[in-house]
Amino acid sequence: MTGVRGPVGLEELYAEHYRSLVRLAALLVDDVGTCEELVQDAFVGVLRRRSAWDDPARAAAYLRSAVLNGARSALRKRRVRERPVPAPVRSGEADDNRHVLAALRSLPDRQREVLAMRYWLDLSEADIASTLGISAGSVKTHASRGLAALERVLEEER
Amino acid sequence: MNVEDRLRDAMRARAAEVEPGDRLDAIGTRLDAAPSRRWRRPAFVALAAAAVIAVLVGALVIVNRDDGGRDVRTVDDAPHVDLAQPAEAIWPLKSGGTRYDTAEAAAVGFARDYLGLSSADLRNGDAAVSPVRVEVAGMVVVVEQLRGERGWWVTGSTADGVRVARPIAGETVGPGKVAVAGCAEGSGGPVRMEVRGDGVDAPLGQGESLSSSCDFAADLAGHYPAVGHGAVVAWARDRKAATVVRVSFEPRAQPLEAMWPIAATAVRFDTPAAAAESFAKDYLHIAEPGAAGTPVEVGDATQVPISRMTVHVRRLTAEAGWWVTGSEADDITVEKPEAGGSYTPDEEVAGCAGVAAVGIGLQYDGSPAFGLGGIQTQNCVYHGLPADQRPHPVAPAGAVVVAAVDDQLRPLRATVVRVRIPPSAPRLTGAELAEVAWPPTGFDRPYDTAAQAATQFALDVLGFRAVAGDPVVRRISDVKATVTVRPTDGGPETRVSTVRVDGRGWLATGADADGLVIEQPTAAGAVDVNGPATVNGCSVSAVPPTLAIRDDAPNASPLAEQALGAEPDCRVTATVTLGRRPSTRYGTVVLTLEDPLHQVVQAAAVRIAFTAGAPAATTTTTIAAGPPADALAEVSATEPEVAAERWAATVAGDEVLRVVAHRPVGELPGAMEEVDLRQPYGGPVTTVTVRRSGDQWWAVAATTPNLLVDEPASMADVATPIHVTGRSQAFEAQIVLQVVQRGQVISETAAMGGSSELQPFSTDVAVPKATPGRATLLVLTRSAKDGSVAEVTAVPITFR
Repeated sequence: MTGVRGPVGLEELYAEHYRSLVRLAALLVDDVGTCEELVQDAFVGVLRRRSAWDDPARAAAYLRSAVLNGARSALRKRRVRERPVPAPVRSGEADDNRHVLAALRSLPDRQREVLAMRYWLDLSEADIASTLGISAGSVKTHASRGLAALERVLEEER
Repeated sequence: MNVEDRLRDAMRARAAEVEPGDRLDAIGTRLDAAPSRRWRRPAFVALAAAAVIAVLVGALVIVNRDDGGRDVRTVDDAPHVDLAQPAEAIWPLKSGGTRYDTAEAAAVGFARDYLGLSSADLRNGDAAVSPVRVEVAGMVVVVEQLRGERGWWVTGSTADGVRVARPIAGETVGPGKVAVAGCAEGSGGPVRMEVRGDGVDAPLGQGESLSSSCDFAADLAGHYPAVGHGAVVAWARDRKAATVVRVSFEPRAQPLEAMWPIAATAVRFDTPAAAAESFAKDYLHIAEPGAAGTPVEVGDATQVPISRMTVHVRRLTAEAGWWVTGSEADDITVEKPEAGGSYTPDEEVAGCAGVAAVGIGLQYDGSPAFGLGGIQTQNCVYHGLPADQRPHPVAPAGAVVVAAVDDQLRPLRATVVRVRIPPSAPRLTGAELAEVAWPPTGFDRPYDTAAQAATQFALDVLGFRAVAGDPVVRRISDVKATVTVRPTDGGPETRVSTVRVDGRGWLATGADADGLVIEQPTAAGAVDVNGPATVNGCSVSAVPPTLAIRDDAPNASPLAEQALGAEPDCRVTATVTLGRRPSTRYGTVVLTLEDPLHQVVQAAAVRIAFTAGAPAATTTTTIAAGPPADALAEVSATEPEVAAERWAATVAGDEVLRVVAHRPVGELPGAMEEVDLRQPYGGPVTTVTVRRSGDQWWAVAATTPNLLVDEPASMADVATPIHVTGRSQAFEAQIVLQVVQRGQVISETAAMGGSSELQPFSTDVAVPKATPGRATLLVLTRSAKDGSVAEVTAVPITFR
């Protein structure tokens, strides 16, 4: 009778999103341990938020949003604590990839997040807009500016 | 490999390195261990509220912090309602995620979950055509489908025998109390009344009427939200049903002392540092403001150092939290205007700055982010006008911002002065000023300098017998100057306003003097040649002034002249009838003070247009209310330029195209205007035509000379694919065609026209998602600099 969809199971939600969200966070925050904590916090949040928990699509959007907020917060606190943040260097990672990721992490929050969702999660503009709470036009703008800035940073490093 | 491919590769490589362990148990453990976070809800809602209000008022009021942030929290002594809720709907809560497929289900859910009735008994339901009235649990529940929202929504209910006369549905209530009145039949106990806020469990205000008669009334005192919606609930005497009326809470006005946070949002700051940090980041838009330093108490106020500024914050009576009242950059002082004083946007801002250039801006309360106009300093001194040159003040208060800026005019730190902005006469663009300025168009005496124009204006129009010495010229901007003239050396001063128009040199636009001013008619105002003209002003002189109305015919006597009597205070009023018809289109209203020999020694003047128009009331009644049929989007405003900006914001996202000029068009005064918009850093101009309907202005067309659409015609009936032809000139010849329907971009296509000159383009735009009804075709270009929308042409269309 009602249009309410039944609550999705935790296992189902976990299986579908946990790994990809940790990897999303890892694009924004270098420390994988922190990333896992962020994502676990997001799951705890969605479980406590009954309204988000009821709807699988809404739960996924909530998780994405919570992870992005958590990553932003972690980066901000880290910037305050230990500025400047050195670019992470890992063995086995190709130089170009390392430069690209470092450049990505140097972008403003919104640009970085839009690019991560667009090129890692392959989300539509509408989904990105919904996750970030901005308009689709703004998503385009941030993506365009982010790519341009990324290109500029990479050019400068040559 | 392009940058997108490189980015994808880098992401894949990074993701391949990250292999999370199985942490499902860890989540369960954290869930059990975590303390209840129910206290966080108000803060979360408040931050969401800030974001929503930012959109509503067009302001960039984003408090970019999560609820676990270091020290920024909203203060919880004021209730915060869920601003995501549609204005019309009481139930379900939009943020709750619940949606109902049928009206009956919505009504039952409302009775059970909103009103808490234990046995919501569905008895009847009408046909599923919105709105539906559903009988449930002794109530008739009104359930509707809302535009843009999925499912069915409860918009009100009426219990058997309980009528609420006040408030009426949709009424704005508060702020301190809500008056509820009505009639409840039957017996069984007092009538209980509640005021509820969206998403707030406990009533915000409540009371009972003990009267045994049908009538009930009470003023429900409460601490109601600064903004948002809720409902008034009047219970039946047996408490088994309720009449529920949707209401809005009255937005709280901005305190006169403080510019931040915006009072009409739910955002408040519980520490001085939090207020200062948000002020730097969200009000001034400083890119990296850093963390605030240690606050220092100075009397009632607290000073917070941040980003080479001292931000002044304090608590306000009757307001929660800490409020920003101003700031001082280490190396910028503002001498004009004074903090707390009155300021009009055409006044110079002046002071001293230890930087090569400053940006000067004016931020109206609740307006979009301000622009900064760059001004060079000379030996520390700067003076100039703020970038915002709107013709009408849009708020009664705001702040003047003088900022140290980077090479792209982005603020680094700023001295910010709180000011009152009195309502003023409409301000005119340069072109409009030139139209009514003196000498008139076609007059064969352009003046090379402002001083020449002012001197001749004083002699020919103000009635000076002579102008002594060299007039003092004060340049206000590249195109404006004030010239001080005197009839004799050491005589009283009259300031003549002048404007420079390319190709015509300098023109005079009016005059005033200390203690002598004309308030009505306003600059470029109208004087009806058929009716009496009313002139108001102020003169502090002991000598009564003389009023004259002149046309621009050389050496002609005034059309009307009258010696005015003394009135209380400084008031000067006169109603005069023109003695003859003017022989020119424009003229001047002049107030003069004369010496005992009847020589003009001081004067005030405004330039006016002579009209023989119909009474204003006739004009008003010809304008219908509601959106025009060709409105480009469902956005409107009470000011034409604001309507244009709002429409542009729907196209360009949050990248604001700013007003650079506007002008009336068409035969009917006050019915239609053209507003020129441009990006803050320049670029092509988009002209938006706005039309008034009722008290609102709506965008009905947008054009740019670089994007011309020949087909489809405006308001054409179309089907997918739409054949679009025209001519364009754009960077790398690239143009974008979008189709917008109900606020959503439902199709986007790229096309190519000309790059260095207008060249034809032709393309078919497939719109598979189109539904019958109105839509808008947008042809736009994006900025090569940052990808934002640079210019746009819009064509209203209708899908068959």
